[in-house]
Amino acid sequence: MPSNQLTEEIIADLKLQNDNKPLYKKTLFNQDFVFSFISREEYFYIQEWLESNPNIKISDIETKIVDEALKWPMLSPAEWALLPAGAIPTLAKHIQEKSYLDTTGAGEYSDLSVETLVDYPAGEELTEETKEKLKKSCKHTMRVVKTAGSTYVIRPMLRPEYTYLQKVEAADKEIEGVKTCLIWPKNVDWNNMGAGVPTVLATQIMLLSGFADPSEVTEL
Amino acid sequence: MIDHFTYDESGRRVYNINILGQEFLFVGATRKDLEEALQFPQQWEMEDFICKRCIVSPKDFDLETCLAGIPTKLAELILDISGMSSEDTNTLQKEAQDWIVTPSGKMEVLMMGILHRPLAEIRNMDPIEWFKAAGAAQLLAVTVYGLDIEKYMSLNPFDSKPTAKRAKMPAANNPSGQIIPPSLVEISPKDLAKWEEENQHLITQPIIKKHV
Repeated sequence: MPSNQLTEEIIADLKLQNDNKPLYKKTLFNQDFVFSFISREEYFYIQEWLESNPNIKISDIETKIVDEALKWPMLSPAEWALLPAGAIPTLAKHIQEKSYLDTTGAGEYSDLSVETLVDYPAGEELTEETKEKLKKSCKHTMRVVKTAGSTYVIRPMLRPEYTYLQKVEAADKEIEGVKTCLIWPKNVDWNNMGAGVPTVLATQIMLLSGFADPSEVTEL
Repeated sequence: MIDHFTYDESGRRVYNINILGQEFLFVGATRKDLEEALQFPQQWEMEDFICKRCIVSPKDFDLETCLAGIPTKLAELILDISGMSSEDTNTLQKEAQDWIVTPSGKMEVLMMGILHRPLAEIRNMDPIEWFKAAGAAQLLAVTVYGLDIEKYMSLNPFDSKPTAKRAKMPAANNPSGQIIPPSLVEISPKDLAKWEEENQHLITQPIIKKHV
C-alpha cells in the first residue's frame, strides 16, 4: 500500500497550482487524497466520453471522475491496485458531492471526514440596498438561492423564454436558462464552479416557474 | 345542483387546480384533441396546444406571459385525466364496462341510441329532463323497435355467464365463437340469412333488420 502523507508544503504547492480553486482532503486506508470539483467543462467531457462508450461500467465512470478531479497523489496503476476496492468509488462519490452533482445532497451534504483545504470563494454580498433595487426593477417573484459559497437572485422563467430555449441550439442549455432568469449577480464565471451549481439554480428556477408544483387536482 | 358545476357547456367534466397560487379550471382532452396534439414534433408545442384547447378558466390565460412550467404542468394533468397512458386506458375501459352494466348506464346507452343524443348531453340533463328522456327512449324502443326491455336491462355483455339468451354467429365467420353483432364482421348474404333465421327472437321488428 502506498504511504504518501500530505504535508503543509504539498498543500501550499497544490493551492498555487490550482489557482486557489476549492480543494478537499479525504483520508482513506491511511492514504491522503486531495481533490477539487469537476467543472462544467470536465463534466461535459465525461458526458461525451460516456456517450461514445455506451458499454462502459460504473467502475470505469468512477475512475474517470477520480482521474479528472484528483490533484494529489498521482498514483500509478500498480499503486491503485494495492488500495482496497472501495477507494475509487468513495472518492468519486465525494468529488460528485463537492461538485454539486449529487442530486440528493445537492452539495450541501457535510461529510466531516472530508476536510476543506480551500473553500469556494465567498461571492458578492447581497446587501439590503441591492435587494430594494432588484425589487423595484423586477416585477416577478424573486428567490434568493445560496449555494457553493455564493448568493444568487433568480426569477421564474416565462413560457416564451422556455420555448425559445427549446428551439435554439446551445452548447449548454441549462446555463442559458439560468442566465435568462438570473437577476443578480450579473457576472458569473460558470466554468469556475462545481459542474452541478448551474443545475441547482436551474432546478430552483424550474420550481419557481411552476414545473413541479405539488398542488392536487380536484374535480369540481 | 352539483352537476351544474361539474360540466362545462359542452358537457365535459371540469377540474380544478391551484398552481403557484393561481386557480385553473380545465377539461379533459377529446380524442380528436389528442390525435392533433400528437402530431406536434416538439413537446412544448403539444403542451401549448392542449392548454389552448382545454383550459376553461382564466379566460385570459396567455401563453405569452405565463410562467414556463404552467402549460407543462397543466398539459401533464390534462393528459392524465384524459387517459393517455395505457394504465389510464385500462382504468377508463374498466370504468366504462362497470358503467355500462348499471341500470342507469344501460338507460343512457338506450337514450343515446334511440334519441340520438350525445352522452355528454344526456349526463348534463337535470333529473326531470333525464327521466322524461329515459321514458321516451323506452317507449320508442318497445313500440317502434320492438325491444324486450327486461331482457335488455338484464344483459351483461362482459359477464362470462350470459344473463339473457344471446345470438351466436356462424362458425365460419367467427371461429372463436365470441358473440359479435353481424355489423362488425364480414358476413356473406347466405350466412346472414341463416343467422337471422336462427335468431328471430332477437330480431323482432323489420326496422332492426334494416339496421343489420
